Amino acid sequence: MNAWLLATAVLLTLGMPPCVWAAGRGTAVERLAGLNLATALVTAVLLLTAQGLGRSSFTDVALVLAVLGPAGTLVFTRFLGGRSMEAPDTTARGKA
Amino acid sequence: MSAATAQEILIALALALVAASATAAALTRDPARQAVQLAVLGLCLTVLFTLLQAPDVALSQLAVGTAITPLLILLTVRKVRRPTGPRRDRDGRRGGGADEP
Repeated sequence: MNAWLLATAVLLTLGMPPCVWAAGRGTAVERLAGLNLATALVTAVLLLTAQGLGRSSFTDVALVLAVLGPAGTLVFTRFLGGRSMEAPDTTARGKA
Repeated sequence: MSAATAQEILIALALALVAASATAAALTRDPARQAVQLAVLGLCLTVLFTLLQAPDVALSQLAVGTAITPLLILLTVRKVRRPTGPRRDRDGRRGGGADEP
């Protein structure tokens, strides 16, 4: 077994289950922390897999994830936080 | 340990993660929470596809599962849950009339 693949196995065994656990409990905003950590971990796992299998073309998947992960988090925060931000906005508009 | 055995162990790990996150997504009732869990499921599926040596499938799964599906689900939840009193009344009256042959 490659050292890179060993690191991949360690990350998949010890790193990902807490992320899935954190993303499966609590409110939707609390689950975002698990999703964000899972995105970072999966980026590292994909890079280690590309190095361990000796295929440099697998790096593109990690690159796309590194671009799309923060964008997905922004989408989640925009739409999950919008509901709680609407209430002060409407009350301020009502006062004015 | 041979390389094929190592890859099979990694595939088994990724399959266990996919099973756990998919079960959690199926058991979640609130659609907004389910969207977050679906994003995690998409990440686990990306790892599985990459370990199965299908990086193009993993790429499309990444784009769909991380960006597009949560966006569509959250847009739908926002549209459905918008508090509009008269429209909800009209929908409630229309709900019982599905008796066409």
